[in-house]
Amino acid sequence: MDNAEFELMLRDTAPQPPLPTGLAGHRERILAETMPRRARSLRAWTAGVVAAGLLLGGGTAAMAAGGMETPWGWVADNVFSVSNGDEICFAGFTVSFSDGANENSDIARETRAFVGALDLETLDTAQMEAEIRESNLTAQDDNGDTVPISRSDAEVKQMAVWRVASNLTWEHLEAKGYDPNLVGFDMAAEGCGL
Amino acid sequence: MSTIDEQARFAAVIRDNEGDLYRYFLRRITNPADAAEAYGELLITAWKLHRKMPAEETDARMWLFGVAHNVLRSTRRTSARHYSAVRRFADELRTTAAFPSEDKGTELRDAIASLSAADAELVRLIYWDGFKSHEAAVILGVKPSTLRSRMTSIKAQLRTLLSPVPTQPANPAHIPCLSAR
Repeated sequence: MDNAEFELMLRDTAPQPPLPTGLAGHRERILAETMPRRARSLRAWTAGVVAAGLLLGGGTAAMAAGGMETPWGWVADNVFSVSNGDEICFAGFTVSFSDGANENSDIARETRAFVGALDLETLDTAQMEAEIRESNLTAQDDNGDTVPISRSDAEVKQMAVWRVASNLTWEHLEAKGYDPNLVGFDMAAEGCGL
Repeated sequence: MSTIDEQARFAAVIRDNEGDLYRYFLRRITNPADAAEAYGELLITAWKLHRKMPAEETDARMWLFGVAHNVLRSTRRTSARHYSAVRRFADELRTTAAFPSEDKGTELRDAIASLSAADAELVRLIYWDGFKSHEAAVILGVKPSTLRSRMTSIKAQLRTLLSPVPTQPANPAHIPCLSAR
């Protein structure tokens, strides 16, 4: 048997398994769970982390007593606090607008009204908390090595409230016919390591 | 490239290669549910590393198979098990019977399986998955220049494995080297 015949024989041994029905659907579901649900969520959360980093230095440990006022001296669109046992972890949320949506626009008014009315204490964040815990366990560095992130329950709760609230806001705006891409959802936090 | 563009491009490259990628696992993993889990792990890992995905289509395809190769080598599927969509896919295939291997070529498939893991993977990439030898080298992270001689040696090895074993003569005395003792 010459080389060409032998190579043909090797090719003929390739198993030809049929693809399962619904492979495309499974691929879509896996990717939907893997990728950020919305590219804008990622952008806004990233912006929020930056904002939190910038604002932490200016804060004080005491939470302002009045309504939406924050320890950092500015008024938030909504606030949330959770205890980690030793201290109160406080978060102030603000919305921001880009690409020509100014503070007096309809979308700005709609967003602030919606965010201000959200009862952050009673948001159902169980699923989001589970997702955050999972992604903390499977976090990878740039080399693809798994480097789990350690976060307290209070930190996880704080992040979950932020994400659920931002998702709800974007969904509300979309339902109202606005472009949610124009709206960022930022968080400044204190006391929970953020 | 914006995040949305990156996401769309990644999804498109996966979509274009999904059949071949899934078959890659099915040809190497007998249990369909395990193959589904490996496929899920591939999607998750590739997404985590997607910024390293080459821009050119063929290079991106080879990069994906490189990720698939690494997933196959790793016995851990830790990421995939955390994703409900992967668990659902694997569960759906848990009741599916394993793909029956064809009788034709069984001997040669067994011979390939008896090679070292690296050599067997090289043969499968070239003759089963249809990659050119220099592409297989990229996927395996080996020098293309050494591949030709390695393939010649692997094929010789396979031919030896397939050669019929000479039958023992009835009288060993007829064999000069034995009769000399």
